[in-house]
Amino acid sequence: MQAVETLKEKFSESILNESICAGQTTVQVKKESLVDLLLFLKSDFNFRKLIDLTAVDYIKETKVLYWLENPTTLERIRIIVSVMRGEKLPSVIELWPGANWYERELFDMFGVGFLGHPDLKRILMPDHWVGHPMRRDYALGEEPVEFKYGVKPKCPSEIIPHVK
Amino acid sequence: MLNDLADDIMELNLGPQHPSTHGVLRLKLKLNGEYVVSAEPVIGYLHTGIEKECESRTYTQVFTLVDRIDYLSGPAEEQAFAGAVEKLMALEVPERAQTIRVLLLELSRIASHLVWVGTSALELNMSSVYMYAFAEREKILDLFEEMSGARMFPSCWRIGGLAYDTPVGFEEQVRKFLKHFPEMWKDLDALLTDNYVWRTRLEGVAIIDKQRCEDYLCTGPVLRGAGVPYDIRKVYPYLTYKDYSFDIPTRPQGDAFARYEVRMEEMKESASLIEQALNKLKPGPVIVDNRKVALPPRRELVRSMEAVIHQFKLVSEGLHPPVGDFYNCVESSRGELGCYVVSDGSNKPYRVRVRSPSFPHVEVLKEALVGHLLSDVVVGIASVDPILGDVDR
Repeated sequence: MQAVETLKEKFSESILNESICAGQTTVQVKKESLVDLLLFLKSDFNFRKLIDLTAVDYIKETKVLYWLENPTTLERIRIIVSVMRGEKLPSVIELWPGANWYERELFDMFGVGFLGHPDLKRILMPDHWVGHPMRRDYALGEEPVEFKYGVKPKCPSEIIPHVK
Repeated sequence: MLNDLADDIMELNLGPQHPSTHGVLRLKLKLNGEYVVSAEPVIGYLHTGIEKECESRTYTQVFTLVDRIDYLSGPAEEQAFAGAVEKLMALEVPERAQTIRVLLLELSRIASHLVWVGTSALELNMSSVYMYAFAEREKILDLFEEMSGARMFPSCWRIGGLAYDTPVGFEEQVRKFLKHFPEMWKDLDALLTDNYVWRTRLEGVAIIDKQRCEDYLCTGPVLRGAGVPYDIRKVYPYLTYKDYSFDIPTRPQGDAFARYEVRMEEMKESASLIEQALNKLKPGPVIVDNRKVALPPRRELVRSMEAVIHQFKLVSEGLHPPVGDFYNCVESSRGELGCYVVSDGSNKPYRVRVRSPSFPHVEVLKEALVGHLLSDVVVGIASVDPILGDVDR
């Protein structure tokens, strides 16, 4: 993809990794230059649509993913930025006002903070909730189903064990 | 004294328990007289934590969960998830299974739009439209029941195909439905499109134009109602959609009436897609012939030890997609529905993310409702067709 080649030239220091998995292009970048890079993609390469903003938790770090789309060439690109627990990311509300709720969801579910967000509070969980449920070390909180005759069943998620 | 009150801003809490909020949506409204000054949607009342729960279930068990996110278009959710895992495992779904999937997807699209048109009309006190629409939707649910035994969620999707083939006589029943559907569509059209009340209540309300759609990540009928011919079935074709001929209905106005017209046209397109799918339906297998992915057929179990081992492994452990991640998007009744699956090589997904189309559509309401009358708020909410299960996940 031409955009990736140009990115590699222009932001050579901040691009950590570039990969293609099953035809989907992914670029991993440093968080310092995230907003500049997204703005560059949006203005110069017409990646002006944000498709999704989500995260995957890896206990120590959280990877935040931005899907962008160029509506004329119908190319999609995924920008990944990794944050350590407790670190904050710059907000992209200036670029896409709709990212407001997506960032609130990431804050609620993963505990990722966003600098420059006007109203960063919980969105799906109640306001007084403690913890961030989508983190991998957050327990599922399920109970075994009770049966008669003192049979001690397993929790639903343990019936089929996790097999690597 | 009345003049003093005229400039007062009144705060009004609409919902979460309100029949016109399509579930449990809460709106914090600020009103100047009858006019909305600001609207803040508050969500989370239907948060189920399905994404979290998916991480502790096997890939086959996830189907039952993702179904219930957007409870009016279960097949689309299943297709989004199945497509992502099939892409990760590089599986080729048999043609018959793909055609049946298209058929069920389009049936569910009609059912979902019928619920939308029925409930939206009911909110404007047109209960006869509601009755017509729900009676027709019931026929589709009967077809689902015939197919899978379940009315709302025909959870017959499996990784690599379908759990079972269509029952005897299913095709004739779908044809019977198709024969009657255009008449019913004309009735709905005659009741609403040129209805003076319906038009005046919908036209010019909750305008979401092209720029606002881009700012707020809107897709589906909302985007097409703003004049953009964008449909995932056309731009990123999945299943066998590129072999079908269908149009993308659009309207340039971007108001509630435009979105109504787009949905009505889409129902017609879906009916034509179902007919094309029926004509394409050829006998054949409905699931891949890979014993590491699909259960062996029943008749093999009594003869082959190998088959018993495969059956046991698949049921007690499940399948193992290779390490990787894939984002698969489909066009649900509400817009782009994406499923992002991260696999770490184990029998349970590391992360399942559902990009729900309704989530940004509720967010955009805070812009779209401003300046309208309080009575138009109800029309505005209905016009983006939010499913709160889909918003809160």
